[in-house]
Amino acid sequence: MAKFDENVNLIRKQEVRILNFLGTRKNREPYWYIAPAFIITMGVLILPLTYAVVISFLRWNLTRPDLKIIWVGITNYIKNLSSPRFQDAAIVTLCYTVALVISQLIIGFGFALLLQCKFWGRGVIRSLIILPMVIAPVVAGLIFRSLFFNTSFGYINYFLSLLGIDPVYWLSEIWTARFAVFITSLWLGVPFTMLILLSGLESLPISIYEAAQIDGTTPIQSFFLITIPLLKRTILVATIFQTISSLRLFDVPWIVTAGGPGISNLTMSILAYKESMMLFRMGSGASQAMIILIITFIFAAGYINMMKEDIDF
Amino acid sequence: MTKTFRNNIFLWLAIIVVLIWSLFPIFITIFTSLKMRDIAFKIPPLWIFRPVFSNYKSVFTQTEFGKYFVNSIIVTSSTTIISITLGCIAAYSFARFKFFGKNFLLLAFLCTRMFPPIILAIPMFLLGRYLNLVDTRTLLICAHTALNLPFVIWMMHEFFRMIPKELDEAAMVDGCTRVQGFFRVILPLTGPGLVATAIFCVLLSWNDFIFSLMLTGSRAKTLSVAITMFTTIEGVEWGNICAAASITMIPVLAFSIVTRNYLVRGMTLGAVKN
Repeated sequence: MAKFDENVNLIRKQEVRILNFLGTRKNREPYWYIAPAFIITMGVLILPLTYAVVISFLRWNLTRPDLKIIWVGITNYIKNLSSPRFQDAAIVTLCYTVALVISQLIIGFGFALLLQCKFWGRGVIRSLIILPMVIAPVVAGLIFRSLFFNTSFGYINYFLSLLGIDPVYWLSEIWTARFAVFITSLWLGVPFTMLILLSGLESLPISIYEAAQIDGTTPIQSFFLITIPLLKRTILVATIFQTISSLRLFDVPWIVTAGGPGISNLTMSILAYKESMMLFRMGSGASQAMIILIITFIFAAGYINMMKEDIDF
Repeated sequence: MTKTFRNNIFLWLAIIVVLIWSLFPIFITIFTSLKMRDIAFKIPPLWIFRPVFSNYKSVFTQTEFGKYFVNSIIVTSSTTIISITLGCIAAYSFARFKFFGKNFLLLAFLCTRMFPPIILAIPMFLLGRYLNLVDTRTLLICAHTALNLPFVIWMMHEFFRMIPKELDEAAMVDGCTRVQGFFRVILPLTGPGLVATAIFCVLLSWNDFIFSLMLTGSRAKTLSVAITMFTTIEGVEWGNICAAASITMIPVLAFSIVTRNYLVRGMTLGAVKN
């Protein structure tokens, strides 16, 4: 009798499992809700993405209809990865990324420390400080290029002249042009980093600092030994966002320098754009875009790995 | 944790420096756009003058700026409406049900934020050529939605998860169908989150440059590409450049000042474990 009951139970469990897998009429419900969004996503995201991957394996030149479109495997990738122009662009992009991430963390931290003091008008001032991040990078690039880094009429040269310094040919020389792009991107990105760090700072408990103060820690020590380790996760999140946004840098260098004096200031995205929209070598351009994507994923995976190892309090 | 500075003067000095750093470019653009053409770029700059709107007038009359402005508005509002509507319904499903592939899809949606826009712009350009959609607002809306929709789903599903399931069931007990319960009960509760997500969509679409650059020509151009038109006539039309930049900036600035709390909340969501 016991064995019979056991078997019935087993069969019932199997039934439930099969029904759950196949879905009873009620279990179809979620699919109806996600259907419209899913269809649109397939159409405008998955389809183009797959198409881009496929194109990157072809040799396709839009301006040469006589040249047959053929499958060339990873030739595009190898050609691009080994071309000095792409390597230069990659190095430029990575340098911008590193410089921007580090500077934004430092400056953002400074702003955040400032804003977390309680002072009169704090809310208003916070709302004003975050304004740069909602401005289009194009507009910011235009403003900085025309108003600040202009050699004869720029404000920066004017202020320098007040200090007795000669005007600098900002956009005509390589390193000053890079500095111009750097400052513009910095101006745009700091508020976002500041917001993330500020919310992290505000979530820290006071009790630890009070305990440390009793033990005789100076404020500077408590900053480096308490604040930063506790904020590791927040700092990592801010770094991820900034890295992703820097690796795809296009708008600001394009507007401020159009690729730099000559071709010294090209980022990978600008190169991919030129390859596909000016030289019309679609396969090559798509493969460059894919390389940017792969690099972004590698960075993101690295960061997420670091976050997993981080022990949360 | 709030630190108190010992010396108030240093605090306020620092605040003033930070404010100047953040606001000076914005201020100087609007400032210059109100100057008459001939004094716009005098060095040393004139700080006191009579403001005029002639630059704005000439921007709108000399070029088809009005059309580009309308294009921007149409594209931005369309993509926001589509993404939010479809995204919320899908996000509700992600938050309430368990189904095959749910976690994978959520992770995939989060990953779409990592895509450089150019990887979507290139195939969209080619597909647009086949469908004769190049230089139309439709194609641009599709491109923006491709980036917006997954993000809306991911963000809204987080908000929906925070609302207890009991409320759904209570609504259904009271006679709503699931859908009615969603629109009448759950959605209003996520109001702030919804606004924050909508802000993201608006910002992404209005400030976008690369999709407009690659997918539009003269008919469907948006503001971001239109303002680059002025850079070719350098050194002459300074007032126009500043006026055009101001026209592009001011709606977004006003918008973000009005919605500043939602903006801050949306930006920091998920960044800190609260």
